[in-house]
Amino acid sequence: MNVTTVSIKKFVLSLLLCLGVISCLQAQEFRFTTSVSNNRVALDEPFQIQFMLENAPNVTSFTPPSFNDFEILQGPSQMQGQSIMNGRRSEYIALIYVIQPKRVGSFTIAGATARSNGNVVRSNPVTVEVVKANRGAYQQAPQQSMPQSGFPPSRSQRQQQQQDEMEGVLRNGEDVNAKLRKNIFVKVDVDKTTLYEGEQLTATYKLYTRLPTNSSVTKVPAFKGFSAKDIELPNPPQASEEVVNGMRFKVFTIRKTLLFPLQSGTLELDPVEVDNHVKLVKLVKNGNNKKARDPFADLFNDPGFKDPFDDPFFDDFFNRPEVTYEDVPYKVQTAPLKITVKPLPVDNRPASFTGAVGKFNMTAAIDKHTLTTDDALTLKVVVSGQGNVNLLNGPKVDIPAAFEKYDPKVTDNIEKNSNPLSGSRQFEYVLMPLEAGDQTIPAVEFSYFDVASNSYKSIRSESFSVHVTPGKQTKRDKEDFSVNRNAIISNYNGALNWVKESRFLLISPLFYILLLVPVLLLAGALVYRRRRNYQQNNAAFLKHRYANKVALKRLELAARYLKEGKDKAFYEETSRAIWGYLSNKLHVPFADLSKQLIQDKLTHQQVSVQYTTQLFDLLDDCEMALYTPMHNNDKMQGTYQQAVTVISHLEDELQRAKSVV
Amino acid sequence: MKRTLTAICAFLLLVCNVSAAAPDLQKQFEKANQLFRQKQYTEAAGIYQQLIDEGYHQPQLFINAGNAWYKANKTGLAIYNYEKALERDPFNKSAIHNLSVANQRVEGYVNDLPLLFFQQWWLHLQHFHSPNGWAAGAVIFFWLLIAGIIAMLIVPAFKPALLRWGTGVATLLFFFYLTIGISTYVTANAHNEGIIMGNVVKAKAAPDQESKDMFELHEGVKVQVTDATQEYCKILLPDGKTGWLACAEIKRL
Repeated sequence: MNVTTVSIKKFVLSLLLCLGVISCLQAQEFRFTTSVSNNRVALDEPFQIQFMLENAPNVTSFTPPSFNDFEILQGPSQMQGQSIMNGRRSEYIALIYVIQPKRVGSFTIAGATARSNGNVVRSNPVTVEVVKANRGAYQQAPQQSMPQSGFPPSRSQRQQQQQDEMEGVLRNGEDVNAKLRKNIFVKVDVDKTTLYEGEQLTATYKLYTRLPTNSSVTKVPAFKGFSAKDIELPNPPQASEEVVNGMRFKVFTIRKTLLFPLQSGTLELDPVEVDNHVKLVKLVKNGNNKKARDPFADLFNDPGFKDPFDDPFFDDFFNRPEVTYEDVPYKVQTAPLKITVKPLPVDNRPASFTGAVGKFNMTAAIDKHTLTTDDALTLKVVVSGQGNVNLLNGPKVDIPAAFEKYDPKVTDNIEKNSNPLSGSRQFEYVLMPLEAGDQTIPAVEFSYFDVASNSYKSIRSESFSVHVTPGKQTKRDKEDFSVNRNAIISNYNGALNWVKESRFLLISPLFYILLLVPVLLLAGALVYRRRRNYQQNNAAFLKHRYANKVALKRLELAARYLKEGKDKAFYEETSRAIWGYLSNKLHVPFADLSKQLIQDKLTHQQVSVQYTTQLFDLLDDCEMALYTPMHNNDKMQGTYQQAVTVISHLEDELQRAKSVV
Repeated sequence: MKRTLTAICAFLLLVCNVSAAAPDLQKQFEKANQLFRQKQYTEAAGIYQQLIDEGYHQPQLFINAGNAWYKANKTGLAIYNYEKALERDPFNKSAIHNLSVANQRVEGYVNDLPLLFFQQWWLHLQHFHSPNGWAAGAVIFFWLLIAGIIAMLIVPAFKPALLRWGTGVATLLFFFYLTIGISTYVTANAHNEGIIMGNVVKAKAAPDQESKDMFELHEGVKVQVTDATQEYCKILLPDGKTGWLACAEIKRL
């Protein structure tokens, strides 16, 4: 083991120069190993066996083991190379045979022997199990027996890579299509095939490959009947490994989608189509390769060769089987997958259910409790949880008529790449109060279907009370384009009061007659009043009537005697009544009365002479009748009338005289 | 007083001369409603119109007729009937609404200016009583006035102050009622507004067939008639345009 440390000196140039020189001197640990591509092979299945000499100086001979139970199809092909890792150079020579088992059973292939630096070295033996040919299933045993333990990491990777590359080699007699079918396919994975409407379904489309391929997705599924939400995949795609039927595959996830069925029934997941360009290596046999031979034997035993290092390269170059690369297009698609979607149960479905499936929580809040009619109120309803968050409909909110409600503003906050889909959706209802007063916004109710418990669940917020005060602005009359605005209000279907349109009273004669009647009444009243006024105002008439009354009172007794027919008493009484009246009126004592005095007094009172004469005539008549009695009823009657007239006249005259004085 | 009461009774009898044929009319009205529901709008409108022509001028009847004409796509007649209903009852919500809906169909419809507050008040006041109600009120207050005067003349024993005040109030109310009664009568008989009935009518610059066309009017437009000759009417639009139209194209309200 010569470990040379390379020290970096002053000049880069010299460094490079030195490196070239020193690297030649390097040496690594010696190894001689045998490996097979497949420990478990089917009959008639070709496989590879490889003998690897690492860091073997001066290899002079190589003897392959006897392949008694196997047929050599190809080989030996020789690979030679060197690598510099961490400043250490290692070189290797590999001899590869492609062999095919002849019989079924377990065989141990003994190690090969080689001579290196004069020492005989032997590689490890390999056990290969040969099973009956199973055309359908390609079984590959895990390559546990691969002697990887001692390899440095770089080598191990290399080996693996080589192994993988081997799959890309199209061996002789292999059908291209069969090989492709075996090694490349796409598959859709779903987490369930029976689910409820609105429940989440995760579909993953994967590409499985064992071949180097350049793939592109040409047809993406449309997901009819589903609401799809893709999960973002890392770019470039990261391969993972998966063992399918015992074979190790590289798996690329093409698409991962969260699906929410929108309808019930049997839905189909569309196939995804992937276009592959597979790079296949085709091995073409060399003509002189038929017989098994020891390439090293020819090579190293030839004394004519001077340079043992260069020649194997040459030889290898010519002996190497011819290789052609082929780009094979290959289209794969997934099998369509049927999904059964059950409708959500109808029983016990709450009225507030709007299609939410999953597990949710709801909060509702208003931004203010007191406001004016100029302000707007915001009712915020947040529904959060797991489920079809992206499909949530707003909970039904019964807004009282005192508010004008607008369509809610919906804000989503869905967690990226969450599976199951979770997040929250916020509904912002803007409410404009129309009238002042204390209003109550009823509780908001939200219902969802819980798949886990297979039942509906409801969440209720509390109700909100709002105090609205009148604002400055009076209500604006807005243009209303709502549905009912442009339809006529329907007919009046009730009973009508069937009254004919009457003529205008104002122009009918009745109106004027009715106005005239009270005028006439007024006129009548005026006439009546005038008459009564006249009567009240005529004092003479009234006084005369009064005087008459006095005379009649005085002559009351006389009238009685007149009826009884006692003429003496009648005249006596009449004359006494007149005398008494005069004495009374003229304020003269009864005893002092004389005709002369009466005349003087009456004249003094300006009573007309005519009445005075009448008075004295009457007095004379009475005296004459007293002393010359003769019964004459007519005369008595005349006298009585005269007495009444005289007293009446006198009374009138005296009253007038008094009023004049 | 007794006389006044008798007069009032006489008025009531006069105003409410309830027709004996009412059930028959109601039957006809319901038949029309039935036809309306069966979407035979023209037939329904015909029955309504017949009832109106017989002299029944209930606002509801006018509205129903308007609805039927509206549905029968006779916008002009529909608007005419709605306007008639509003003439009877200017604050009828269905009539106002339906008129606005019908006006949407009118091409070149110019919004009427909304009434000013005092015009509103005046309208409210005018429709506080029916036109005949105002006249009857005037008569009643006149009787009260005369009764007061007579009482003052004949029976001086009544408290003169109270009587005098009562009579004064009656006088004022009499004149008030009379004025409004006359104004309602004048308004109702003015007929200075009309609805265009022709589909497209050309307004002319002068009342003459030969004269220049000024502008076009479409069915259902409400115009003011400011002047008229034998054949032509001068119209004024709410936006101030004037023109002459054949009177046959205008149905006067």
